[in-house]
Amino acid sequence: MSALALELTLLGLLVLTAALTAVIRDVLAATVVFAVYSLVLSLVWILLRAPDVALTEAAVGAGVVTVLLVATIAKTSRPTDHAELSVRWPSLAVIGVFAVGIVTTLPSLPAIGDPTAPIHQHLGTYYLETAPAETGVSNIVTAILAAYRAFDTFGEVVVVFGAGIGLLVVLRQSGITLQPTTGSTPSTTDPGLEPSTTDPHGESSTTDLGREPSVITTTAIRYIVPFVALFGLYIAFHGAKTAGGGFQGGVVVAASVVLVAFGFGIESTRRWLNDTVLTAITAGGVAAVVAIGLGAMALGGRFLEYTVYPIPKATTYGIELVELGIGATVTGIVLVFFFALVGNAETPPGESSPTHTEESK
Amino acid sequence: MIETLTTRYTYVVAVIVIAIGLYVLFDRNLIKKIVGLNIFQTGVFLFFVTAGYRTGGTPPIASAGGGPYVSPLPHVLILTAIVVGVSVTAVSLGMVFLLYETYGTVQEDELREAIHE
Repeated sequence: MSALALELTLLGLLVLTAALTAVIRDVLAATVVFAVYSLVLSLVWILLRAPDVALTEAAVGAGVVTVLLVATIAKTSRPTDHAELSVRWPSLAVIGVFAVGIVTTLPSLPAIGDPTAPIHQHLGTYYLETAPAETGVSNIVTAILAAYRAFDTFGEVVVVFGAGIGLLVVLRQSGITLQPTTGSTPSTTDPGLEPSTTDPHGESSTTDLGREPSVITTTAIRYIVPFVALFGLYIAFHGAKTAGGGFQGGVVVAASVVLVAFGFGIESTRRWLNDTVLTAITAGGVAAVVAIGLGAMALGGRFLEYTVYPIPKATTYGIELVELGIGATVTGIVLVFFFALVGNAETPPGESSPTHTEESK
Repeated sequence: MIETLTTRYTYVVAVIVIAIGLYVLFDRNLIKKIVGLNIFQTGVFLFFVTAGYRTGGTPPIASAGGGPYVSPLPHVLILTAIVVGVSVTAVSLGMVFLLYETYGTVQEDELREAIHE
């Protein structure tokens, strides 16, 4: 009974935070409420016995997405309305009709948790029964991800990699590259830019965070970061045995670097983690997956068919290597997203940007 | 109706979340729209993972004599969807920034005016 109470409380919180995100006018406040929403959602995943999804949701939804959103808000405008909350009644009417329409179809679905539901009769059951013996991996989610649906996962890593390149291409148009701007040029603040901190002297600071971070922040980060990074690596390496895997671990490792950047300055972190390393991690992960896949073909098998490798427990090792490749790419790409969106908005000195004119006044 | 609520309440929540996501997608602010996209997709995720749940099930991590497990397949699909989702978010935010650089606004209606000028 108490489990049901907990579930209903979390679901109620979920709807409440989602609704608050919708009605709060201020974009920054809505983003913060959305982060809370993601955190509640990751608890719901645990109740639904989906620990892998919970890990990813907590790291991606509440972590990375929030950072990216806040970064974009800080660099663009944050329109301030007089009203703090507002409801657009016409939109509400439309989605009301939409929701009622879908809810009327729900009775034809099997009840939640029904063991005789079709989803528990076919493919999922097959994986549950055969995967541990066939792959030697006890986390069935990892087994499906990196073995049975390996080709799908490979395509997805390529999509993530492509998104990183796409973002760089988009931002290059506005004069941003991943290259650190040499020399700490004091930012000639964008007219519409609102510093994310309350410091009014944002342009005279030594870091690009708008002010010198407090010693408490830097000390705390100094102690927390090694553990966060270690935890991320553990999730990535141990994903075959327990909940976790390349995606989750990669994001957590990237989060530790993001923490360093917030504590010690984004530009200096970017210089420390130079482009070559970042590119090597990101492309290396994809390259590793491709190499494993093509290696299997060279030995007469199909793409990513681990069993043709003449070593014992080839599938287990194949899964783990592919997971590590995914982890490397995800780490690299999340950092590319972060540095591209948070990085300095200026054109490096001496390089004029022909693609856009300064009409953003 | 009552039966739907007592046995399928998580699906109802999923539909509500999807509807709220759709509502946020109608917002004039482009960044808010992207938040809406994220809410919308989590509603779909909730639907999938709920479908894979089974009463008394344990997480799909095999152990001797364990089980019954919840269905692992939706977890795999959603895991990859979350990561693709963050990629979509990042690229869209980049585009929003580019629009802001060019037109000086992130409000849909002002943007439309600026483009027509």
